[in-house]
Amino acid sequence: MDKNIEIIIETKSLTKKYKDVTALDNLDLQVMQGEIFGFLGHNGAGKTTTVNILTTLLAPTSGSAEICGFDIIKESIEVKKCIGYLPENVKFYDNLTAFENLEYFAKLSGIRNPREKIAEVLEFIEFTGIENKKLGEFSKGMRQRIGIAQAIIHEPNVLFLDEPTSGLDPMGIKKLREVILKLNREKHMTIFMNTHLLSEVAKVCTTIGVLNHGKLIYKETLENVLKRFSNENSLEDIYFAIEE
Amino acid sequence: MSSILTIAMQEVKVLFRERVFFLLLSIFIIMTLASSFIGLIATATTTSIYNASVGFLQHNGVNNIPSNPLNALPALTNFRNVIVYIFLIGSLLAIVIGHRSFIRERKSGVLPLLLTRPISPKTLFMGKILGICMALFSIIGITFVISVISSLLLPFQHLVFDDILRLFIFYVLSFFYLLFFTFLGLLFAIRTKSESLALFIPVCIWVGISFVLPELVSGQTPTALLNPVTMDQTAPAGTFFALMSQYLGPISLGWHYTSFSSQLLNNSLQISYASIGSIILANSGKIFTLLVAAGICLGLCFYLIRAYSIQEENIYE
Repeated sequence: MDKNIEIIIETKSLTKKYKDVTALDNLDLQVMQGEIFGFLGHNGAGKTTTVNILTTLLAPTSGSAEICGFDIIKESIEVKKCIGYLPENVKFYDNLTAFENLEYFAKLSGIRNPREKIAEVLEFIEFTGIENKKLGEFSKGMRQRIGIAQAIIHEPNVLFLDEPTSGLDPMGIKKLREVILKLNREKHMTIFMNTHLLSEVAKVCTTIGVLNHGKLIYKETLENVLKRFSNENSLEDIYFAIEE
Repeated sequence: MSSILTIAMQEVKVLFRERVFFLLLSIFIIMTLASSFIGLIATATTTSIYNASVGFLQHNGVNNIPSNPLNALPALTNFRNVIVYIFLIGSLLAIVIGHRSFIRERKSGVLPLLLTRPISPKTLFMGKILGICMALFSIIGITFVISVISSLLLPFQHLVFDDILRLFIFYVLSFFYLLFFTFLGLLFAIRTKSESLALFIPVCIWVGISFVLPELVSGQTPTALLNPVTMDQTAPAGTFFALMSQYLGPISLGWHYTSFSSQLLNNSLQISYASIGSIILANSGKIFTLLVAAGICLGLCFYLIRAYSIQEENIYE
């Protein structure tokens, strides 16, 4: 965490094979500090596999990756200190309250005074007054926000979001988008976001990468993408143009 | 160490809020509480029969009547039913504790969140093991305290120090016996992908350990095995039982547990019974077998969890 770096995520020939299927094929990727990186791709392109490897949940078949300058295999504990993770369908202990769930994750992250930190984080994401409610009573959107709270409670440098808006209503999507932008602006967090929603990419991301059959086929800042494909009508058209 | 303790405390907290666990625990504690009442009622009934018989005999001119033999029995014999409850309900409860400990995380989907915290899978597992032991220890501790308090509250059952010590040793042994079943539940929860199968297999093993093996070794019927007075009887003579006893005896954990416990709590209703030291010495092999069995299950759990962390398909199913 002390290493002064600008490239915060770097993968070199990262490959993951499930028996005969190559989910990720020699992925070379760099994400810079402070970026909101949108990782695009159709179902089965390898986006979730990439996030699972980068969050140390999966071991790659070959290749290497560094986050905050730490190797994901050899220095996995240091990597874990530096990242926050929100899976697609975030789950908690439903028979515990929001506070008890967050307290557990805070303690596991080595936070000495969880009570203060939880209050601070919930205040930051503007989600107070729910601490003593059981998670079993929460809607999908509310869970997602608690998911964000657990992911940022230890103030990570990089936040991984896997399809964060999946299953949310428009209001839930809007609130989540605001939180993501606030985290990036005020906490200077680098966000790595897997998503299908191109509209979200346009509103949130600074850089996009497109994955197709495990291969990175395109990576560019959103600004440059819009310049390059200025004759396309929508981001959807741009996406199809890239995939072709 | 603090992470292990945090995980252990969480394990206990979550477990005690689960309905299935709470229901089984309630049944177990109520039955333990009932055992001393049942012992008291049995003694009171027999005493009233004795008194009626004495009155009848004296009315008919018989004066040379022996004293009530139950009065000479130690108060501890009133707790003999506890063995049956731990043997039956306790071990099932233990399987559920072990089973739920792992299935809960897998089913709820919390596991990926936990594994992205700055802890190793080994730390996570060790925390869970410690939590399981703490939960089991508190259950056994509660039942021990209930037994001692009930002996103080009920008439005819005042335990002396030697009795309390026997009861304590019995509960320590029960802890290790139940630990074996807990680790068995945990082992199959890790190993088996199907939740129902993960519970079904340890229950089948429980039937084998609790009934099939003891029956083969001792030649007793299942009902006799559940009778605290007859559960420690020796096998009938014959080549079959001699062979069974020789080859299956050493692995018959249920038989070891009930046999040792029966001797310790004086289930055979002897007025003069063996000292604690001599019982422990005579049963050291049985105690060792119980500890080894629990140790083997725990070792296998550790082995599987080591492999589990790299079996990525399981984490995301």
